[in-house]
Amino acid sequence: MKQQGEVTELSRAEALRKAGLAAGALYGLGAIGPHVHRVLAASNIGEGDFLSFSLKFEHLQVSLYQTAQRRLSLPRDLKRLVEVLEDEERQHVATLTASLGEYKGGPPERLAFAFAYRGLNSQFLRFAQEIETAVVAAYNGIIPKMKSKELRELLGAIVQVEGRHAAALRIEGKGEPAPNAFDPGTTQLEALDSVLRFAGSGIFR
Amino acid sequence: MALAGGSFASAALLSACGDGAAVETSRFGDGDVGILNYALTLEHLEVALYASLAKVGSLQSKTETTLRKFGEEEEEHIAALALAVERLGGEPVSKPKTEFPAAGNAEMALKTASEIENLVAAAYLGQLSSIENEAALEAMLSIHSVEGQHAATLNSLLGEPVTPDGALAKPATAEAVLGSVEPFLVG
Repeated sequence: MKQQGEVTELSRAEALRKAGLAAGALYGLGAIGPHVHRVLAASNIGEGDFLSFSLKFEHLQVSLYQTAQRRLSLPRDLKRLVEVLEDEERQHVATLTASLGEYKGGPPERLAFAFAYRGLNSQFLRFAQEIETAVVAAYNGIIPKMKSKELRELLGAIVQVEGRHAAALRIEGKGEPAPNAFDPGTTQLEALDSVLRFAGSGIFR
Repeated sequence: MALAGGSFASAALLSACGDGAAVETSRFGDGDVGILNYALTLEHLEVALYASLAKVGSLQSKTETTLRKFGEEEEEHIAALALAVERLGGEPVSKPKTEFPAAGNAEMALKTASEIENLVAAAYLGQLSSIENEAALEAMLSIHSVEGQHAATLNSLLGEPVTPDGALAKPATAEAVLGSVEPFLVG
């Protein structure tokens, strides 16, 4: 008998696909949902698929920090931090795009995400922490599957920085900077779930 | 060894540039066991560090709480790494004898902690491409990002950048790391 909340990967994938395609509130996230579905359906998941998924999350982070700077009235320290985070996520995008080109023969499609803030810094901070935490877990799940040692090292260099970002955001939010002793890896679906939990919060438009 | 304003971690990171495969973890065991035992040694060092910081009286209460939590998390890392070593058929290294100079003030204490945490984060990163066993790699990864969070927090307390290497963290070789922490390992 299934526990409450327990779902199979397949049914979750289907739910995510439907959510991504049907819900206007998930504008942007729909770009990730079908990708995950396709990857799960593929019999041979390669380095390029993992890089592509990582790149989508990096694009999401760039959009998040960019929008926060445009639309929110951030206090000085938080504004400075968000500028750094946006710049570093952009560098991750550039690095992963270059690496992906080597594995798939060309750059991936350009992605843009849309956020609809209501002017609440706390909402932004909570979501940003959630994204950074999800990204760390996603990378920690992906890295052991990478055959290339160079890519493993590259993604390791990125995930440490994502972890540092998460700690900095938690400090800004007056939370514990490192709440857990371990950051276990998650599947890509679990990482996506962490983001989709915010679908009804009005943070996406 | 004087720690105030020291930059032993920086020296280790500079040494990391070059052949990252030239790791020297074999003194702790063969292959993955050696890597895990190397990490275990660094975790023991961190636990000893936080125990020594608990004696610094001039830290703010909130900072003390944070450092105590970090020390507890390092204890959990020790247990996890020891288990990972045993699962590979190895024997976990025993706790080394450590010695830290008395920190004169809160800033000196935080500086020492920051340098060691940044160094340990770089040490983990330096081993990620060398580990063969998937479960061992997963264990190292789940600790690595937490060490990065510890380092970022301590940097933040000191008013220093949370990502001192920028967008891509730099790895450090075992040789460089062990050279840097040698003054604290007294037996």
